Amino acid sequence: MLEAFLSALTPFNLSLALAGVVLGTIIGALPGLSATMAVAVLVPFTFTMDPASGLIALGAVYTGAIYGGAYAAILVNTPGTPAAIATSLDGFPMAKRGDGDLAVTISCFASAFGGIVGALALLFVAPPLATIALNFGPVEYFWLAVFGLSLIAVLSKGNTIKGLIGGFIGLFLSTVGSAVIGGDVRYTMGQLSLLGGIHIIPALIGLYCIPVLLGMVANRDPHIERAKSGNGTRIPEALGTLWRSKFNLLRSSIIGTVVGILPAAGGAVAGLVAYSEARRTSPDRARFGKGAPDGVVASESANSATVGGGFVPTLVLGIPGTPPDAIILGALLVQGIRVGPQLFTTQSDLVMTFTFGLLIATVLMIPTGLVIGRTAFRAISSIPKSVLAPAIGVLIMVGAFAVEQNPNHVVMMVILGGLAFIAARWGFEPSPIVLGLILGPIAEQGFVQAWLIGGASGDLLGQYFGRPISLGIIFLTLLTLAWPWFSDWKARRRTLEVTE
Amino acid sequence: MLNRRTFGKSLLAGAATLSAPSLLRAQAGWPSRPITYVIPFNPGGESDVTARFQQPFMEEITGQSVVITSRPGAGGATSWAQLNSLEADGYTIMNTIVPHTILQPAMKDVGYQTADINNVFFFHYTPDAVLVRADSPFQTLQDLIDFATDNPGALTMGGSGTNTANHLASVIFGDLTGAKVTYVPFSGSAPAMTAVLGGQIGGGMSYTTQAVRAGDQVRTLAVATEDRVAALPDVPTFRELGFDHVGGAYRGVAVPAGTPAAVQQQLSDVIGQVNANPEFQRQMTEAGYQVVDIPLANVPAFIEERQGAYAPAIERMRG
Amino acid sequence: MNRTLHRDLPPGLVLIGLGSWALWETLTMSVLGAVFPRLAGSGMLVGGVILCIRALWRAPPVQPPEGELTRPLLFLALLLGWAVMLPITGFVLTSVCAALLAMFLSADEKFDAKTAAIQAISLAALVGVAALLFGQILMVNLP
Repeated sequence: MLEAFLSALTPFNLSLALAGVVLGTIIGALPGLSATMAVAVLVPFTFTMDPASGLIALGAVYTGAIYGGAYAAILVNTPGTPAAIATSLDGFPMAKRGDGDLAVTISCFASAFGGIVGALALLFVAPPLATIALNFGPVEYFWLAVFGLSLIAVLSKGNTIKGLIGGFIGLFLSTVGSAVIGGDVRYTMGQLSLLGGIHIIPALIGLYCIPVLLGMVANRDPHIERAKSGNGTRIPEALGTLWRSKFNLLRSSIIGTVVGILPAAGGAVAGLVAYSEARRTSPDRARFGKGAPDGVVASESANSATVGGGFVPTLVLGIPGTPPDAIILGALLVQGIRVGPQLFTTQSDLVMTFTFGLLIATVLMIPTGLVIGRTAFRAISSIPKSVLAPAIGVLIMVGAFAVEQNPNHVVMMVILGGLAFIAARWGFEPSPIVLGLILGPIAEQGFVQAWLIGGASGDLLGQYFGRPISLGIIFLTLLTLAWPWFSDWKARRRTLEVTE
Repeated sequence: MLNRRTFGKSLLAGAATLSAPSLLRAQAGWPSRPITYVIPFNPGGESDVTARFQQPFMEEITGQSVVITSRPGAGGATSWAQLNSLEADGYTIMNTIVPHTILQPAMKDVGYQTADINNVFFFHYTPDAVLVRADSPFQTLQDLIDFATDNPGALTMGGSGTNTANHLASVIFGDLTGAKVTYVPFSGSAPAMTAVLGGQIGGGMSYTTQAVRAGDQVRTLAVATEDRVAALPDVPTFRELGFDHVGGAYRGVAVPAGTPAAVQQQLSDVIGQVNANPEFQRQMTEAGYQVVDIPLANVPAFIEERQGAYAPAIERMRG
Repeated sequence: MNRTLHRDLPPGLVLIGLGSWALWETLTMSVLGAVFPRLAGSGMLVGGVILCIRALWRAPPVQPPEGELTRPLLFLALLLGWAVMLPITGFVLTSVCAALLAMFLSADEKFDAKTAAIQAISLAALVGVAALLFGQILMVNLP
């Protein structure tokens, strides 16, 4: 193990890790550019390196890109990658009131912590953890998605009807196109450009960013408040916040690691589940969604932990845990490394070196993230709106196009953005729509597969309700839905007792 | 902030990028500039991996760089529907797959017809493979067929997607063996394999490459090749077991309609040369792919043969 | 007597229409493929009905939505034109023009020639950098 650690520490590998993190962070920060793309771009360059160095570079870019998504989520309210959706829920309100620097610093430390937990899990308990991926069948994915959707009801308290309607609109949007499962062509109105469905990233940019952009034009107040004081990083304050929410931090990192192991879930689900749990257990739940640092902590530590978690099934079972992992597996194959379960046993030193590389990259993310984050915050809070708005326009145009090099995506983004703007004036928030759009396919696929499997086994009810993990998730869902009323009731009783 | 000079430079560079295609329309000296190789699937998948295997050899032969770009969407249909609107100069080539390009237009309106795809070469196929988890009671393919015949529909087999190569293979499998299995579609090969390994489904209608990757976690019961697969020497072929099924996902390279015939032939020759390289063959075989040579001249006959082979199964899938 | 429409009435009617259409379309779908579209369609339909009923019962909200509407709608039209023209006139040309228009549209106060020039140049430079970054480094084939 020591040997592997040392070989990860060679100057070449260290500089690779640093360059990878910097590149990844920048790519992740640009809307539309996901971790998948960052990794895919880098793959050809790694063919000239030895496998361990190549892997370290890829892992570092991946780590950086997942973290970079936080900037756009916090400073522009545009989760450039789905993984950062939950970050924007509280990150942008923080930035709006002048705590953007704090939010960026918190997200940096929380990401690093989550990343380290994920990497440590990969290092020490990967083989047993991989069995989690295997125990998660279609039904479990279905219930996990339902759990995520239950967040809609929680998030839109006070305006529950519109929140739920938003969720249904999102579900509806998610069914557009030719269904991977079942093969139906739905709601395309004969348009070939809709056959591929509504791609999640242009939709995210459209639904979140365009209303912000239009709001920027409509209102005279600055896009986000400038820093109130200090040097623009507020490190002690951020560390204090993290210390106060240490349980949240640890819980979210573990949730992120576990969700990362599930091949069909991903960073968005990890962030949302962690956010939902953080909100449920927090003493001041009411602040969530209005700029609670705890929300940023939960989302960011969870989505960064999925990096390490995702490598668990990738390296132990040969099944990519996340889309970027699929590319890394492909890259290994081209390099002549036999991936799959034998990789973990026969080439354990390679795996070790890689894991240490990932750990080092995560640690390097702290200084990188602080420096880039401070620059980004200063830039966005001080550039005049007449430059900021067109600049964001350029970036979202090129970003939406770059996802699949498809000009139709750009048009779709603008149309959804326009609808989101109108919907916002009618009192509909974008988040429920996005939740429906992202979780809809996971729920639907799980539902249909479970239906087919249950039908084949002749025990449909047992398939949906008879499996222990499913029951656990159902219980958590009910708890999340009922908890606010339960604790309100308890609080009311307590005040009654006090007044008596 | 950038100063004026960098701005000027970048504008110039931008203008150069814009006008490049129209300036260099040469074909006599093909190739005289980099070739863009479009993959209609996500990076990391089989199409991407095999293209990356080809890439260095193609670069060596042509002396030009080959740029792989990925344009996924609707199971490849988005890119294939756009193929003929790309510049027909031999500098944009696209990866194609049979049965996808036969199956998709037959099942629904996807914006292209099988005949619209101008293939110049099919260079390999990823053979179909039937696999089960290592601790499954099915030791042989016959065990599985017997169970599925005695208990119609009770055996679930997972594959990637509906109206896909895996789906087609499961229909063909049922037609050939009389076994009645329930095909469960997943959103890709990886989730389907997870479900096999997790015991969520009875078996997988997958590819040899997945079998190789999963190692001894799975038992492969049969592969759809003529001779045994080098990477899976103990696994019998369907033919050995008495079922006439050879096939899988045949990957080829296509060019936009109107590409000069000479360039098409040159491209076909280049890919043929890559296929003949022992190092390329070794990489492909180790991962479970079967290298085949179907050059430009043989493409029409091949497509016709495949259309005939799939017709009964497609008829049944359209139901 | 306030005779303005309740804010929830238009979205309610839109949702009823959208939901009905979504349900109508499910008639041609396969059994399993129709489950989620039906769920989404009925959700939108029922939601729309609830919004309408509530809107007819209650008084309209007191405060109208804040912010002006003309400039955002113009900006939205600009974005749409930008997206549509992208594959026709190419990334660099379209983006430089659109970014400059967007700059004038989003400026809060009149600016002098010098500021305008500096801002215009930096935006054009941004387009150039984006074209280089995506086109050359990230290997995206920009139109």
